[in-house]
Amino acid sequence: MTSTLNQITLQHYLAVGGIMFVIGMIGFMTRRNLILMFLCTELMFQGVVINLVAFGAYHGNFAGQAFTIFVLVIAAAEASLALGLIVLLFRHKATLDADAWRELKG
Amino acid sequence: MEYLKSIVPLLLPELLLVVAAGFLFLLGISTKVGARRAAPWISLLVLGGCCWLILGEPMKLSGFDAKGTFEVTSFSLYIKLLACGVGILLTLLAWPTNDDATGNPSLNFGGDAGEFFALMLLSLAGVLMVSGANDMILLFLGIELASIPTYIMVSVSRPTAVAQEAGLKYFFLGALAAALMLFGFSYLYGTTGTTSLHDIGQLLAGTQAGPAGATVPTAWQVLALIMLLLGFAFKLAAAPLHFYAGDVYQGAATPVTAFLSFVPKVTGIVAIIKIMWVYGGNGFAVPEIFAKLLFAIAVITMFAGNLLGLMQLNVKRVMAYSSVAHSGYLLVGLTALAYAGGNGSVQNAALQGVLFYIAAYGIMNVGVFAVLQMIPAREGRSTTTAETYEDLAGQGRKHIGLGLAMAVGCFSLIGLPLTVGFFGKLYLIVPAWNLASVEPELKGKMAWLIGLTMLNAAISAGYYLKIVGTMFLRPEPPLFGDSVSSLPVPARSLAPTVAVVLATVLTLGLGTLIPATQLLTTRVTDSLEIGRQPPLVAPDTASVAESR
Repeated sequence: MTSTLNQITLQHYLAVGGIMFVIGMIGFMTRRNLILMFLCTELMFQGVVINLVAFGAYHGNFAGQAFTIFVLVIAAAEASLALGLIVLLFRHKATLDADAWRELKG
Repeated sequence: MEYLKSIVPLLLPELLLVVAAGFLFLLGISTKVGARRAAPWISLLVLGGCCWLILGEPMKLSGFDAKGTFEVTSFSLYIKLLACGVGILLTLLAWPTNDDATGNPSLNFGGDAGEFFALMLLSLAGVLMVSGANDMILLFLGIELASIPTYIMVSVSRPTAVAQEAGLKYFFLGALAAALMLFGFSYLYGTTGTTSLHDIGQLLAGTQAGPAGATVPTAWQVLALIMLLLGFAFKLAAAPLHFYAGDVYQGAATPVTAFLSFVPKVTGIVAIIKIMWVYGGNGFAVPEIFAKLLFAIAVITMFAGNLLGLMQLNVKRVMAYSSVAHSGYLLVGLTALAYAGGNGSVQNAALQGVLFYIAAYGIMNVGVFAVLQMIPAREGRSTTTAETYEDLAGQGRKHIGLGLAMAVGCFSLIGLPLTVGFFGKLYLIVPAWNLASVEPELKGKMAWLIGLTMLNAAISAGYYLKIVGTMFLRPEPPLFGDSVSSLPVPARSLAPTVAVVLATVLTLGLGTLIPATQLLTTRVTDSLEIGRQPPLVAPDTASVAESR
């Protein structure tokens, strides 16, 4: 059991974190649903969190974990803000399609 | 307890702003007109108090906290004073002048006056935190504290779908930029094992090599650098993340637009300066790739801003792209700083130039937006204050004061002599010029940099002069429908008038009185002590643990 766990190195965690980050970014660019776009930015944040925790464990200090707590707080603040803004817009037009909002252009 | 004692005196201005913001949030619950009227006065008082704290006792305020995460240096004091000073002007712009204090002709936050000014103070507190951060966690938190309130301010500034669309767009791209920035921070932490900017600088200083003593970052650190620059570019509205500027600046109410074009820009510039300090190994001896990136971003940003600005019909969009272009000018100064390597005097001059330009831009930009917000829109438009060239047509002849103030602001933004913008551009270009004469191998690059900056200043004259020309020369277009009323009369209220007068006087005063300009720049002379050495005595962890 321990031997299989030991084979998981820093690089594996970083790969997972990086993949989550890239999937989030691709999703942000391609999705047009406001809620899904927001979830994609959350995915990017969580990818970074995996990086931070893995680096923290690798260096043997708690700075990464401390940073993670703050990132989670910011992510939570942004989540509440995003939902508030989306509800505000939903009251104007009952749609979540980002392309429905095209009043500003130029 | 000991730690609290060491950090509270340093954080006084920030604490004052945050406490006042909390009080204003509570005040916002009240539905009384009196409470709404009190909110701007309170924020004005608090910002004045912060200026007094920063100016009055700089010696007492300077230093490090025991753990070296927060620093008060002349650099950070300058940024703090600038943020609070321009914050006062921005408060005047957002002053509720209605009978029921729900806003002014351009701004309508309904009953949320308390919340609106609280958000403003929180955002400014974020700038203050960024200026003093010596730790990447604090730097990130400061940047987010400066940004998140602005997303809300854009959305609540007007009860229209346009403002909320702008707010949502700004928020989503802001979240994307924050994620990019965080990714950069995570790799910077991962490759060094510490979050302290000072310690990372020390570690990178160990890699210094080459004739200029530039640091040699690893590939992962370069990746982190690119991600960080992308994140900061969003705050600056610099290329490649500048495209949101037009939409967001147009959708937000004019006072909020003025806020957006100054406060996030300051956080972005300060963050880039801090990162340059770190990558230069506790100095600005940055690797060449950093300098090349800054060069490319600066040039693309200037051209994108000015060329897009020429094509716009909406004056607020023009000012948005003007703000993009000015980010480019600021980055020109930073490029000179990056190429200066170990050359102390050029570095000093370049940093001073950038810091002076931020102040100059803040002042002249507020003046232009204040005039824009005082000119009402013509009938039949969705907004109530000027947005298009038609709204401005002929207003300068009718209201000569507003016209002249707009002319001064626009001439200063171009960089014509006798205005503060001239000295701003001069101080940005002179370091590059000096660098070219000191180091011959950089002559070509610096010549391109200076030439392209001058070219862009000339291009920008195209739209700034169009604004002034429209106000004075263009005949007023026929009114829609009834032809009874002539041009709409500007809103006569005290607060924006004071802002216009202050901004114009400062623009002309700093531009004509050379001693005043020198005073402002000598204040930042010793500002190179950014990542200063934390106290040599290690914090006594035992006593800290006991006191808990």
